[in-house]
Amino acid sequence: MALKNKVIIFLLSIFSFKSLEAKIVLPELMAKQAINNILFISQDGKFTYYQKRSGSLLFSTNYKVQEMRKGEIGTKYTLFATPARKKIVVLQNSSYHDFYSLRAKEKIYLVNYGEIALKEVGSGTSPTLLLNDSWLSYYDPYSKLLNFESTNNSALKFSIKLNNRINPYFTPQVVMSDDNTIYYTDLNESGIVGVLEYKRNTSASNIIYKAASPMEKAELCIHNDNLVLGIFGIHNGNQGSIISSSPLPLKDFTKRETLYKSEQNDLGHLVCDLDKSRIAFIKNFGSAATPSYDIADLNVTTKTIVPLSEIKTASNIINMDGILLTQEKGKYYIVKGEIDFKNIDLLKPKSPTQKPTAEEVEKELEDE
Amino acid sequence: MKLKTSHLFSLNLYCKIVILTGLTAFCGKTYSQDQDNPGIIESLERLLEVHRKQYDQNKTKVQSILNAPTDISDLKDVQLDPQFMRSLIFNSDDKYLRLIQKDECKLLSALENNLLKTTEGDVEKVFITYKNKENKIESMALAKNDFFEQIYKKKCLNNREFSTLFNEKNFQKTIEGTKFSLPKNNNECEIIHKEWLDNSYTPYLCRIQQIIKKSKSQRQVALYKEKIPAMQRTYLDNLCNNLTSPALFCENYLKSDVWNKVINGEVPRYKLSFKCKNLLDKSEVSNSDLKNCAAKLVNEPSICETRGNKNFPSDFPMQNCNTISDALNRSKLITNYHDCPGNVDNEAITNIHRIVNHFSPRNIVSNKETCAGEAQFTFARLNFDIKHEAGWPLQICFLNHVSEKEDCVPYIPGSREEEPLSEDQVIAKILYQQKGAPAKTKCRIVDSKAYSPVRSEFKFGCFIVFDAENCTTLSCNKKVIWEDKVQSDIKFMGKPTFDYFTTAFINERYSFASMINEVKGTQGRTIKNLTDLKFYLDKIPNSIIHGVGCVEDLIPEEFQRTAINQCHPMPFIVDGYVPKSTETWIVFRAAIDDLHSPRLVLWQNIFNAVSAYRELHPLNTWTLYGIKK
Repeated sequence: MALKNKVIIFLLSIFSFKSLEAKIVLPELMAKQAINNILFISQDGKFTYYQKRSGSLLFSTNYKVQEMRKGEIGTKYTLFATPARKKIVVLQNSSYHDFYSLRAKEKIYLVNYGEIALKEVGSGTSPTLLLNDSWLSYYDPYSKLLNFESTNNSALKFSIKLNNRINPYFTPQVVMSDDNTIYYTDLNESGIVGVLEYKRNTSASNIIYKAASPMEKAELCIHNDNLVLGIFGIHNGNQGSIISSSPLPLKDFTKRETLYKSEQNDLGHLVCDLDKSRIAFIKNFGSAATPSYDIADLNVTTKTIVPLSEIKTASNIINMDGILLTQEKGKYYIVKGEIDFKNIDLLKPKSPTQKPTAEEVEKELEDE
Repeated sequence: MKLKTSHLFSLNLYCKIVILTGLTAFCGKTYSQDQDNPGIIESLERLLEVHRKQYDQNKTKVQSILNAPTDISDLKDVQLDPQFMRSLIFNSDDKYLRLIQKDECKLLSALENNLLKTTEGDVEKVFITYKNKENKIESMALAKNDFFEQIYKKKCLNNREFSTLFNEKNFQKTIEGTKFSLPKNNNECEIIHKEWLDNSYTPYLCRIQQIIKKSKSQRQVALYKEKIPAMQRTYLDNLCNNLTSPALFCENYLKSDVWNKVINGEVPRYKLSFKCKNLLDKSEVSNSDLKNCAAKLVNEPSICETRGNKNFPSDFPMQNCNTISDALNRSKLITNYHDCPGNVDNEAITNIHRIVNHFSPRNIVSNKETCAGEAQFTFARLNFDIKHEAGWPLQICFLNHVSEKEDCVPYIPGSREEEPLSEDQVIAKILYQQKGAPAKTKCRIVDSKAYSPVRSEFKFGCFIVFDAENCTTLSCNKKVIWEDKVQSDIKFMGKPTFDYFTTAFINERYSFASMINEVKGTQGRTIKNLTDLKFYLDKIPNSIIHGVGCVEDLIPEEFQRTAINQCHPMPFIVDGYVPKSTETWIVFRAAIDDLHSPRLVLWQNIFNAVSAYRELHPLNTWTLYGIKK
């Protein structure tokens, strides 16, 4: 009897250990300053862009804090960067809390990665750094112009007029595969999304993919010199999800390779620039009636899926300088990658040997 | 459909034959289909012909009796004449025959209420038999009114009182006191149907239904339509049309979609009418339009995904009709208008328009020219009602020829006769004061597609011309044209910025959340969890919930967060919840959504969205509020 009990206890302990082992617990992103002010932390933790509620945009390293821009009270900044680590785009919205508008054009600035000198580019929404940060695109929802500007020579610019007349809140997806070729999404008169190829030398767009119904959305990204297309059904329909890829330069996009297929409508949010062998996205591990959204890693060679989270309600996935983050209930969690917390700035110049006390850290937080 | 009708027709006739042969040994022949006896329909035609002849002969015979009594009070064994009865059975609608099968009093009340017909049509004279002093059966005819005056003294005494209860003076009270039960399941429905068949009121109610449907007396129809609520009228329609078929009666009530509930009058008409106006491209929709439209929405649920918001731009695509139906079934928001979020830059204004008009509904003109102006007007009035003119930023600027400087005056977009600040009146005043236009100048707001300077109607006068399809407050190529000339010095300026929830205590009174309480007498409190949300919506009848959250969390399938602390604040309204599978789905309208196409979202999306925005809010406010009046 005693032996039997011991066996049961042993088996139970194995199962419970296994179940504990299986549970993915995401570490919370912590920093020595309030996370809700942080706009960008470099992976090595050596510098941080953050903002104050007074409207200032600041840059801090271990030894220095510099004000990059002083805006009006309540101004909100948003920063975007890519693995190329050459440029950072800064969006400035000075009416963030008193003018709620998805289409509000925000001021767009460029700054060199890890530097502080801002250069104003224009105004619009959804800025995207393209082709190793050599180009910037941004969108004007009112004129429906997708604008492009070289980050090295502001005289080089062009724009594409979108066709969409049906969804005032549509924002195109854009990728640039070479100096001459842009792929972007647009809606036709019926609201069906299409992928178009634009050639700068001819200023002409050609459709290379058209979705089956208006109930599908398209996402584009470049992964290892392949154009990746994600088609995801929306609104609890039965369209399902497909991720496919085709080598660049494109020859025949109809012959693209299917990397992943699901009957469920996934959220998508493809992240193609984090890992050379994997694409991260948000997958519905449940069903349409009881959805369960988590972040998944798709191995493009083996076409296998590995879940990266077990929160069931994932709604976003962010690549911040090589660190994959997700926000849940107002807090940020590290999904993948390592951030060097040792180096995260202390905001004020300090001797390298002197560590801040808990009270000092608390006071810094209060100051914010 | 044709086949089905003819099948039912022959079936009904067949039933009548069964009833008739049961009641009368009319003819000894059988109804077989051999060479001598043609098909059943042809036999019926002959049968009717024979019956008609016999009826006429009987009528002539009865009316020729000169010494027939006029008072039946002393007569014995008064019955309806068998030939007359046969005629009623042959010529009346089956549904009413079903009603009178078991009960003589019901037969009399059906006859009294004109539900039964003879071969001559409406009954004007009633043919009866009685036993004379020698106990011989004799026939006579009486004028209908005389017959009922006298027969109710002999039998069915209650019928006389029922008639009084349903006369023009009393019918409204009687109907108010009558229970129109709505079934929840099939068994319950069959019981309800049987109860109506046994109910002595039914013939009287069906008479009212018949008058509403068929009477030429407009006065009477109008009276009934005015005094009987839509739900009861539809109920009577359904009952009286389906007296013979509990299945058909129940089908209408056991359908769970909101569209049929609108048709039944169980939920407000606006839940369907605006969608159908748009789908059918009609400015007004009749009840039969609504029925057709409802059938379309049930049979082709994908139609709601792409249609229903034409000229009223909003987020696209919308939801499937089934999802919208589930949501509208539980939705409380009063939506007796159509708005156009895509033409309003500040999404908070659309949300405010929806909330204010829930607690304080007004008559809103819904068309593509006025829909954006109506939303702006709602918000402008809140500011003016609280004497916060500075809170309203939209201005028309012009060159003042006296001071030779630019002057600006406030305006509210759109045209409203009673509102001196409405755009058309402000422009007319500027033209009068600065350009020498006549004092009575009126300006017309015209879509650029309709404006054509070569047409005589646009030759003279003042026109405010704009592209209705591509016009928002901040981005609208609006031109003032007076006497065929563009007035280029008149410009539309201003950006409506304001706090939705307070962002600084110093301005607390002028945030929307405070203004609506002060102006409309509402009260609000924070909603922290799903239990609280359900409790608030369940317990307070007119309550709704509104909030602001990051759109990236509210609608992640459309909006993506790609940077840390990226968040587009999106105002929204929650006005119900739907338990489905193991989840609780929240009835949700983002300010960018079509008003008549609510979504179903999960609580965690709302919680995440409000939590994320709270982190960025200057006062760390939890921006999810229940609001009631």
